[in-house]
Amino acid sequence: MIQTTNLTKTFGPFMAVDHLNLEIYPGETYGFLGPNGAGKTTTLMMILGILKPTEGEVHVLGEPVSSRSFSIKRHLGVVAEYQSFYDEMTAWEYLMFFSKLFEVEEPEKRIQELMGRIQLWKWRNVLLGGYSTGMKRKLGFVRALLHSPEVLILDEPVSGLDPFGVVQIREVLIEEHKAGKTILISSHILSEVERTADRVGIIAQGRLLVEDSMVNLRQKVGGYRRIELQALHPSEKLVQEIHTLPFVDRIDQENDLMVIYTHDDADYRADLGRFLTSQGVVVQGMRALETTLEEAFITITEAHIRDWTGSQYGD
Amino acid sequence: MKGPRLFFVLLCIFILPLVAYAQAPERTEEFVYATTQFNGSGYRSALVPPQAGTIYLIAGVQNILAPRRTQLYYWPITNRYLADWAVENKLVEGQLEIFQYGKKIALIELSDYIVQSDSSDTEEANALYIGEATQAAYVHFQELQKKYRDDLYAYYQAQDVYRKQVDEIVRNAVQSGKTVSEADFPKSPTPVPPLSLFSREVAQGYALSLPVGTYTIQMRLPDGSIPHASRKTLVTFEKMQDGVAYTIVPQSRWTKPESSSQPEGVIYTPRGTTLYLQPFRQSQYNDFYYTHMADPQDQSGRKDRTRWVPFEPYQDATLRLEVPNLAVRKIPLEAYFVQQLPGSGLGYEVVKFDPASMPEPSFEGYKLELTADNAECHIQLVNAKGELIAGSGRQIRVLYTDRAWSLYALSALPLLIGVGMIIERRRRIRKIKVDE
Amino acid sequence: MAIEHVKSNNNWRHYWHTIMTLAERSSQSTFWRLGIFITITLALLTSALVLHNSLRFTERNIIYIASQPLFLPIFVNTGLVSLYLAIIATVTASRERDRGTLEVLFYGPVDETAFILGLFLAQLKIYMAAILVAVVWLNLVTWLLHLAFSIEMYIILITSIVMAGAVIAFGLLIAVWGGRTRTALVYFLLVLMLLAGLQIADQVISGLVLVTNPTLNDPILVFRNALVVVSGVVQWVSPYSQLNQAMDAVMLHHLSGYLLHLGVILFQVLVLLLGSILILKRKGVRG
Repeated sequence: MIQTTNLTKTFGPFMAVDHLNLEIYPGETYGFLGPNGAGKTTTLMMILGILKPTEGEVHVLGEPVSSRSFSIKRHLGVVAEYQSFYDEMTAWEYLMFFSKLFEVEEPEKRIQELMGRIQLWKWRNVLLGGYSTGMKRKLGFVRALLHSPEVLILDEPVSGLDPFGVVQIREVLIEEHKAGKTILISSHILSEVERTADRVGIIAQGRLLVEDSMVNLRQKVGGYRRIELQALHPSEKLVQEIHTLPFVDRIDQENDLMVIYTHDDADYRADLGRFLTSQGVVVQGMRALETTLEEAFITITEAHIRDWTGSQYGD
Repeated sequence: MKGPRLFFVLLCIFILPLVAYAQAPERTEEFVYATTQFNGSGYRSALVPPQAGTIYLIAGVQNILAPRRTQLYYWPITNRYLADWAVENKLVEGQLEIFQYGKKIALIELSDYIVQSDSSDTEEANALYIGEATQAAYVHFQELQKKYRDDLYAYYQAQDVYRKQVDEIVRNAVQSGKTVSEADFPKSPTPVPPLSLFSREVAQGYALSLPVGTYTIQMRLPDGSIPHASRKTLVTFEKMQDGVAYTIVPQSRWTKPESSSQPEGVIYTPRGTTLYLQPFRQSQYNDFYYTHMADPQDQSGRKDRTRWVPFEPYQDATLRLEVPNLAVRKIPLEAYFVQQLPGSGLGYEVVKFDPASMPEPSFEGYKLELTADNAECHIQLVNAKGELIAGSGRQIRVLYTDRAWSLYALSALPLLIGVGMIIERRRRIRKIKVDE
Repeated sequence: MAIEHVKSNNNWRHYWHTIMTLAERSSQSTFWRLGIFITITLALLTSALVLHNSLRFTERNIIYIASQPLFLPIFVNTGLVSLYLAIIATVTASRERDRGTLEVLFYGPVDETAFILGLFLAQLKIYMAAILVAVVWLNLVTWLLHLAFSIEMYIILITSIVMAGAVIAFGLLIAVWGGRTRTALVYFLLVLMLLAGLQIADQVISGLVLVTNPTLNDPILVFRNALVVVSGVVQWVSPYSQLNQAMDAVMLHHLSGYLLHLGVILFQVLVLLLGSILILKRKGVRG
């Protein structure tokens, strides 16, 4: 659906995007992450045809963006990080304008449906100059969905929203995903990306560091699994004995709570459970802990920055 | 004291350029052409200095190019070159060569010529005599002049005799105590009418009458040389069409007539006006060519414009008046007299001329009264054969000058509409600030 | 599948629809403000003043001869309205870029050409509405004052639409060239002042007699000759000047002259619009 090949963008001597190769498949939700200044927005702008690449190509819906921007964009829905509105228009007028632009059928019905879903309907006749930041972000979302686009490109879609707003947007995204839409999300709110993305790409200093499914990403990072164990008064001897188990790498303990790091080749809870039973330990709770996206993100990017800094300073 | 000193200094600064202007301009001896050219109505003179590269003349009529040496100077106040004829005015003898498309097509010798006029306009002559006719015209003028002088002398003599006779009669009457009447007095001598012909001296120049085209001219002196300043481009042009102009005399301002030369020009006048129309024959010329013909130093003419040049009153025609929904009327050309109103109040009235009681007509024209019935009319001249004369049609309309208020009232409408539209929109929308 | 779907949508009907939608939004936005109504009213008032002057002249002078007494009021009216709309075009285009709404438009099926043409047509639409108002005003005035009806008046009003197009296109060019709104406005006013200054200087100095190869080395003659050349260029470059000359041609019934000046104005429109589109492509949509 979206493919970049050796996509590069330089601003003078500064390379913002460095030979980026991305592929986003039809129907998937792709999380596009990176620290500040990584080149995410620059990449998105090149995908949208707003910025011209210094090198490389972008294909959307099978067509090169440069020559078919006009027709391609009729199939895209975009929510940008910083959005501007016509303060002199009401929300209704604004959405009617975009409906007309995208040639939406039965625009009044469509607008009412979308505005109702995110609870903006009663503010439809208010001038946009009077809208709050969160309302504007939601309105931008509605605008992006008006024409039922096949591809959604979202840059910080929930930024500035209250928790209710976040939930509303998440629900809409899940529905769109179920409907088979391709969604590209760039966001700093990793918990939201984690909930919705099928795959994630992490970019730093213009380079794609990693691109994989959520499951694989969690597994790849650290190379271990974790089991959280709550036992009644665990003795030091017990901890040492658990350490001797062949599948255990390390143990972090805090009072009755232990986090046991095991190899990542299998789920060792059953083995651990048998061992604890044989030792007569009273287990109050045991569960597998997954690597969060945030942890994965920090680990990956930190390592890259360390390597990059090292290469810069000859460490 | 600071103020007055500063003022004095500034005054000096501003006066200095004027002083510079007031100094006598530098004169140089130059070759020039003094032209006597036909301008559509008569003959006028113009100076063609060396700096003017092209001469423009009307085609198909006689024009004179007189080669002269004179003292030429640049007059900055009017920004033109002038000739000091009084200091130097020498004829340059030689032949005039005329070229077209690189080939010599004519060689002109100097001819005698004279310009004469039978009107009081001394700037424009209406007769040009060339060659053999020159001397005859000049002799005729001299004879008229002599006759006028003789008649004038005789008149003064007769006047003298008359005065003496009147004195005698009056003295006798006083002495005798007899009453005398008008019949007792002799008839006073008739004044001599002024000389109606004006004439210049016989001069020499090149007489040219060329068809429309562009030529190159130069003078060849007896020694075979060619004065550089004699080399000019000569452009001849013709009139575009003929038409009729009107001098329009309003009854209430008869001393301030207006002229209508453009056939498409509509004549507007307030309600209740009486107009007198005087027709003139006119010809249309290209504005650029005409301006340059009249003054080779004037660059203001435009090639995309034309001008009309009236040249003589139109006689023997009737004015046809067409008013919507009324029968067509014919108005004859009549003479009118401006009669001062008696009494101490100022004023006059225009009445039909009566030769029995009035000395001479003030003007002739077609009288047109604009009333409510003919607030709009169309006029055109009709000749003696009953044919409409081309170019003489005009539209005359009464302009309702008392309705000026309507211009401003109508102009305010868009603003009212706009205010209405904006109020309607504001009624529909909610202008509130939403806080989360 | 996706490729076919995209290809079939790439046709002129959609493109034209985009341009008209942009034009509608922009013109609506102008009509929501009082500015355009004030301008139209002021333009009519100025025309009224010019015409009133003719009425006063007629009263004083008894005779007023004019083939087209409404030409000057029309010229003043069209000049004022077109100038205002050109300024609006400048402000609108540069503000879209400044505040980022242009970028939002470009997320959708809008490119540089559609944007420029949309704004252009918006202002032209408003101008035509203003002309309609002027036609009504002129007809009422003609009837009330008993002026002569003139078909040439309509020819000139229609021609003025093309002239307004050139002025509006000029405003758009300044907007995309100048970048920020304030800068664009300053550029616009500077160019106006320069052209006006040249016209005034030319009129003041054109009273001097121009003679080729003057013997005096007067610097003012050199300056005057230079001004004549510059004024000649301005005559061809200025849409107002071209409209004025077209009006002259109409009065003189010179069809070829009229068509020439109309053609020049149309050429100006094309060049200015093309220039605007190319500059916007080069500069990009981000403010």
